[in-house]
Amino acid sequence: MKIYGINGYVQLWRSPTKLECITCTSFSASSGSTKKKIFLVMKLTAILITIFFLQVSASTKAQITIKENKISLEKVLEKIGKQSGYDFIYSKQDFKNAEKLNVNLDNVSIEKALEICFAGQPLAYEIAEKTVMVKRKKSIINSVIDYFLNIDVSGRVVDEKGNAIAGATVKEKGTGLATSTNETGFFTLKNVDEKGMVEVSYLGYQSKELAATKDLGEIKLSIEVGELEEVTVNAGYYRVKEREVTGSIARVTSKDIENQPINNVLSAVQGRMVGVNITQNSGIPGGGYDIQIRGRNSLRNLQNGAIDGNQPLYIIDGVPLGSAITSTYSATVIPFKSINPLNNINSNDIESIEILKDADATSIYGSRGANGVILVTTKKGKKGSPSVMINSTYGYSEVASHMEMMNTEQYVDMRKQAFSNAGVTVYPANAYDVNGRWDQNRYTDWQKELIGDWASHRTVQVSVSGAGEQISFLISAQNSKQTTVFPSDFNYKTNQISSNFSYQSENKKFSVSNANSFAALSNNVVQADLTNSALNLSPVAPALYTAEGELNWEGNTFTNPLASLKGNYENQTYQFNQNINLAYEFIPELFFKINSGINYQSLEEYLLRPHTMSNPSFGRTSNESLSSKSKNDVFTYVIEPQVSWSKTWGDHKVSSLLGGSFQQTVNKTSSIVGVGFSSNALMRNLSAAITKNIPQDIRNEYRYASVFARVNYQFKNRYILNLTTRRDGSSRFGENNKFANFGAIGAAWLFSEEPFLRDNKWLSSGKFRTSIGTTGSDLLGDYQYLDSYTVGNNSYNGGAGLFPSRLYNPNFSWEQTTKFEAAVELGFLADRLQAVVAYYNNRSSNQLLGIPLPGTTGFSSIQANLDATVQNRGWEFQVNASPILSSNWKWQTSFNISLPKSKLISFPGLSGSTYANTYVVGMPTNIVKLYNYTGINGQTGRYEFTDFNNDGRITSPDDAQAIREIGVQYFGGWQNDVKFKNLSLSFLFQFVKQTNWNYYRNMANPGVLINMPVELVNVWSLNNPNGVIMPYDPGTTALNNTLSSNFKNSTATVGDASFVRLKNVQLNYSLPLRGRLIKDASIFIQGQNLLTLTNYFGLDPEFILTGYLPPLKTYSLGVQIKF
Amino acid sequence: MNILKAIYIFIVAITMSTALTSCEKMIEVDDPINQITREQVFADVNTANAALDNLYMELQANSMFGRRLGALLGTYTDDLDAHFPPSSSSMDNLNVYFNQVIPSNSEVLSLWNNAYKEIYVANAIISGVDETTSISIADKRRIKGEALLIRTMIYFQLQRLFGDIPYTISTDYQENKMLSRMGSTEFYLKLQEDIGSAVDLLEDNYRNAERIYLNKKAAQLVQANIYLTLGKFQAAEEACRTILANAIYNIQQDVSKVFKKNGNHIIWQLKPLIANQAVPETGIYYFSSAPPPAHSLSINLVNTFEEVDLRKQQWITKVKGNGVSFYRNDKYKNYATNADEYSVVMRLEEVYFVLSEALANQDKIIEAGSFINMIRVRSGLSPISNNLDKNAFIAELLKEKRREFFAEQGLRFFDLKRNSRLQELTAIKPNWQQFHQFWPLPQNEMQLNPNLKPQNQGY
Repeated sequence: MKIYGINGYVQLWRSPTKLECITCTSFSASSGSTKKKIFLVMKLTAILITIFFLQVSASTKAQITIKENKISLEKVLEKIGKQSGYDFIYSKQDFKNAEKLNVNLDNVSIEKALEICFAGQPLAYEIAEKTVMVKRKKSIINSVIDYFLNIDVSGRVVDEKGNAIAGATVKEKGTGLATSTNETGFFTLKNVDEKGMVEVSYLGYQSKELAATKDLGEIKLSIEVGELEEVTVNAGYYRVKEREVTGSIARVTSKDIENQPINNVLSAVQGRMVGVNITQNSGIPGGGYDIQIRGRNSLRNLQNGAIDGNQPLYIIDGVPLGSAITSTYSATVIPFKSINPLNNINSNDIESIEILKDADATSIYGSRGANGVILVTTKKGKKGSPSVMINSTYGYSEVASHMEMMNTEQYVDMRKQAFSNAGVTVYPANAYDVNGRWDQNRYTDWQKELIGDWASHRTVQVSVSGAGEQISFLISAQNSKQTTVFPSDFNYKTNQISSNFSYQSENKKFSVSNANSFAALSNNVVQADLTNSALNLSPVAPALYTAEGELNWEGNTFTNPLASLKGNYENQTYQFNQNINLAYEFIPELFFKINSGINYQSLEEYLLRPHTMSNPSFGRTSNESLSSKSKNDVFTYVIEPQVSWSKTWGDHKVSSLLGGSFQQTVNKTSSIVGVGFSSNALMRNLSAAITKNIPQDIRNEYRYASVFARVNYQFKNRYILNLTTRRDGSSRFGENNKFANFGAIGAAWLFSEEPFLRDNKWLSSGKFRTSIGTTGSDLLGDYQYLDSYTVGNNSYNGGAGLFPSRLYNPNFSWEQTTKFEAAVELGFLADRLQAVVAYYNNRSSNQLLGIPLPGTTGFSSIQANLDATVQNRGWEFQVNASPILSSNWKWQTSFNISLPKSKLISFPGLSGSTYANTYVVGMPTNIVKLYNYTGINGQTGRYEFTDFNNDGRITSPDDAQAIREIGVQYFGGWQNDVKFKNLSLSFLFQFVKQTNWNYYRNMANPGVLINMPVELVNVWSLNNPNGVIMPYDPGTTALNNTLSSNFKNSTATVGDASFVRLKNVQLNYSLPLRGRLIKDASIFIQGQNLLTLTNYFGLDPEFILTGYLPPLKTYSLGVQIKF
Repeated sequence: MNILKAIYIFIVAITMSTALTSCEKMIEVDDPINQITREQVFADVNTANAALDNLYMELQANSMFGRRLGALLGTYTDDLDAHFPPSSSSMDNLNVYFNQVIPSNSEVLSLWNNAYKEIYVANAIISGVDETTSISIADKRRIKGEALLIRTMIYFQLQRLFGDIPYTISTDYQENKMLSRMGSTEFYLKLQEDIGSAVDLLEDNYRNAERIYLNKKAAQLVQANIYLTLGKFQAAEEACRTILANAIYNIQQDVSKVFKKNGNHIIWQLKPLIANQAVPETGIYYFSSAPPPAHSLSINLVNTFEEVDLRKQQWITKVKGNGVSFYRNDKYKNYATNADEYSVVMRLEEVYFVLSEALANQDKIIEAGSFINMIRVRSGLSPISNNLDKNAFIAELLKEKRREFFAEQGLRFFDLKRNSRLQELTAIKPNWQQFHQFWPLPQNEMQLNPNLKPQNQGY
């Protein structure tokens, strides 16, 4: 019911019996006083009640006849009222501007009469029952005034049994205005639009929407069984309701990803997903990640081959990402030259990340699903008025871990002891630290000096989004810059623009969406990682710079680590990604879809090595300056037509999908090396080089085609069967091995839906699921089956050489992994406590890998299928709970742990193969065989090892029989979200139980001109029989050298590398600034890798290769405002 | 509606099955632009030459010839001192200097791996030209001859460094991954056969006037060295005399021009990979201030020169730093720009020494002395004494050869070893032991191929 009366009269015209006039005096629009509003509302309520009762006696409907000239509108309405018996409500003031009329109505209906009378008037009317309300047509001022007509809404929220619900959220829809209920379930939401809708929600209960009124009374919420039902999960080619999922899909949503000071979303996912172990390769921005989804299925990794056989498949918005770009020159900076393809995606643009793990989920990706599939879904515009979001973060990082090294006194003492042990009394010429050449009293903390800077980073992101019934859009732009911890002005810059548009036809049959993203990244890094130098340099080593500010070589006695800063490594990446998805519903439930995508990546690299990097004593000039440039372009397009159909009849529901996929990737790499420049200033221009060489010019093509199908059958909503199959063809295999078939079967039983459990109070959901199937891998590089010669990098006498590309084997074929999984998912107490337990057993056989070969074959490996079976099995546990959900306090927590275990099941002919000394049947695949270190001999002070073959000597491989594992025993994370009113705190602990190489593995012999960890002060002597290392030696004693080498290949070098890391802490304060302009504003403080607890003997327990910068500890501050 | 549905399903089915049947076509790819098939390589003499060029490139960049063995064995014996500041990366280099080579030494592994990689390439070229019919007989003979010679040279060096080693002429990895070590008697029989064929296949004339490719005379010098090692002195003498009989070779009378690329004394040299770049040797040996960052000539070596020796004046430079003198190997002068130097691997002077040693071993001391004297006279020295016995003569010969060939090709090590005089090194190399005459087989290799057992004695 709508009544308007402003600053004057509200008139109620009642005919024919009575005319009543109610005057609301002194009601002022500007006052906004609540009291007065209540007064007004009360009065109007009274009027309306009167009307209601009066209407009961109103006369029957009538035809109107009025014929009069120059009559006022008010008068006309009076007449109409008399003739019809209708009541009119209006404000006298509104009629001031009404025009006089010439009325000629002849027996017309009241509707017609009103239509004629109001034509051209600045007034509008509404008919409700037998009442006509007249109001002014709305102006902006009116809208503003409306605001002050808002009301305060109050009520009480209870559950089905009438018990108060504390902490339920009450909010006005579309404005962000919100409150929560108190202990007794009461709430008051102030300033609500009278016409607005109020939504009441509480976790585990079905939300309710109500029209705003002052007193909503008691609002009863009913328990929602299976809160999961609402959530749909991206399974790649299809979406599926979480409760109906038959496969294993780990999921992280934007809530956990947003606002983190990271370059790659994988950093945010670490520790959050059960079964997914992610290791960051380096603390240098722009590098790669090692991702193991349920262990390593392939024995091929970056340590033994050019291509990691364990890479997952990346899918962005339904379209597979083409092959990763390959770096030519970054080896000294980025471990394995690995650059992760997700570097190009702004993590704030990501809505969710799903990782598919088991056969049921991955086998629809057939040959590419063996190592799991990472699905990235970007954000879309959300329904509601358009909004602008600005997000800005600023922060600092430093190296998270340091090693305590010897100080000057300890170091000099070590060196002097070493010479004395070797019987050297006159220090040799190159013992600069003790022979007086260097100042023995210096002390430099080289870790502080070389990798101790604070790296700063800042990120600004702006996005605009909105959606209507048919169209949605989101445009986002981001800029960030990050510096490094090295003592120079290096930085990593990113610029990303992405947009998302989607349209759906009015009849909802046709939809199209288009996602674009463009990223420009530039990375300018040190030429070689300084981490090793930071640990190795003697504390008495000379200053880095001379008094004149030049690099100090201390008269050729000092290899200045900063020489590498004279050169640099730079790369620029451009990535353009465009996905277009079309869908049309031909007939109900039969959809035809096409997903298509274009992905273009370009990587340009520069490696500059000016002559000034080398010791001036070598007498080099800019004639020896070397400049290399490389360009790698990868262009991929993918087309995937699909038909999906579903049908429900009675208790049966079938959904099916049939699709095809075609992909082409062209990868071009060329590089040019210029040597000799008239001046180093010209080094960026290779045409200025005296001699130019083109080491490589490569074009590789990859094509891939497949058809796939899925059938899902559900019976009575609780028995689910899911079948997927795929036939793949890949150009990476030789003539007879190009095609292969893959498939999986998955089943789920929602036992909590069974009648005997349905009324159960404590069990809210329960599901058992299992799956078995096969997946494959074609990650092996292009053209490996060709018997060919390759154009050489270098030439002799001007002509380009040709060299044999590889050992010829055209017969290798698909690698297949059979995956089995069984899992139970349980929800208790309205799903306030949820638990998932999963067991998996994956077996890879016919493994395709570069089998290592002895040097006598001319190559280090051959591409072939290995007749061995590797098993990866394990348990995964996940628990989510919401222990506190009160009006002011909320605490949600989740814990996950994964226990992977690998085992070599069979390996016919192992003893005669090149793996004879690497693997043991029945043992894990991550074992190493080492000398068994038994300690230091109490008499001789020498390292001792078990002489397995009793020949009196320690030799490899016969005596390297002690087996150790290098790998993870279990890992997981513990995530907490605590909310108090506007303040929320979330923190994540990541833990990994593992063994790995420790410091001893790559240690120099203690006593040489290299600093050592302070632990090695504990050196063996007759007086200190518990010393951990042999007496120091200056590196000139042959016996010591051999023993030290054996020590480095012994069990002493494998140690516990477990750690617990406070991975992420975020404190978020939601500013109480909400209003019509600002919808949401919050400030947040973030910390990344703040705390690490470990017993690891080494720099940092998280590493893939030692000697590279460990992960950084980051502090940041940010603001997010939504308009 | 049902008919409509049927039609749609039919259309989709047709589309899908079309896609299926054309799958074969859909995944056909273009050949890579940087690779050609093996058949194509040996179908044309130019591409076959390119395959051979790549092998020469390897010899220059990664092999034992050129710079590598010269520096390594120079420090292993008594020619060179190593001054690398100890760091993880230079330790293996220093351990060669300190005579502490162990099976895991990375220098040993890379030397081994590069050698067998080059052997594989040589074998691939030999089988490639053997099979082809589209290259002229003359070209086939030359290409095969050069590849065979390179393979023999590498095997010869490897055998003298590691002792018994695997010998293969196959490119089949199944065979090559399981090779055992071949006994030295059998091994040398193979080598003599191979070098004989190489001599037979190659011609005297050079295919490039700069003498950067191998010819028959280079093969004969290798042959002479093999005979000398086997104690077949007469055969060694004959091979040397054949080389000397060829008029295109003359001794370089100007000591300062021995390492210039244009001399007629050069039998084979390696061209730098980039035109006008300094030869790799300068990068190893050059330093302008002391102490040197890498290598210097040992005082022991410098002291064996007489002051008047032109070689001392021309090939050695004293650099003083902090009151201490260091000596630089200055055989190659062009460390910045380079127009006239290539890496000289074989030169006529070596033929003189081999011939002289072969003659002395046949007790033809006087004639043997005449060849040594040609070197001495050129170097500004007086002739050698005429009345030395065989042992004393060979001692003098080795001293002279050291002064002539210091830090070249590891000749010092091989000469001492052939004459069973490695024990002399103990005088200035405190760690020297008898078993150091062989290097250990790389540990990595022993692990991958169990048939290589046992490891060399002492390691």
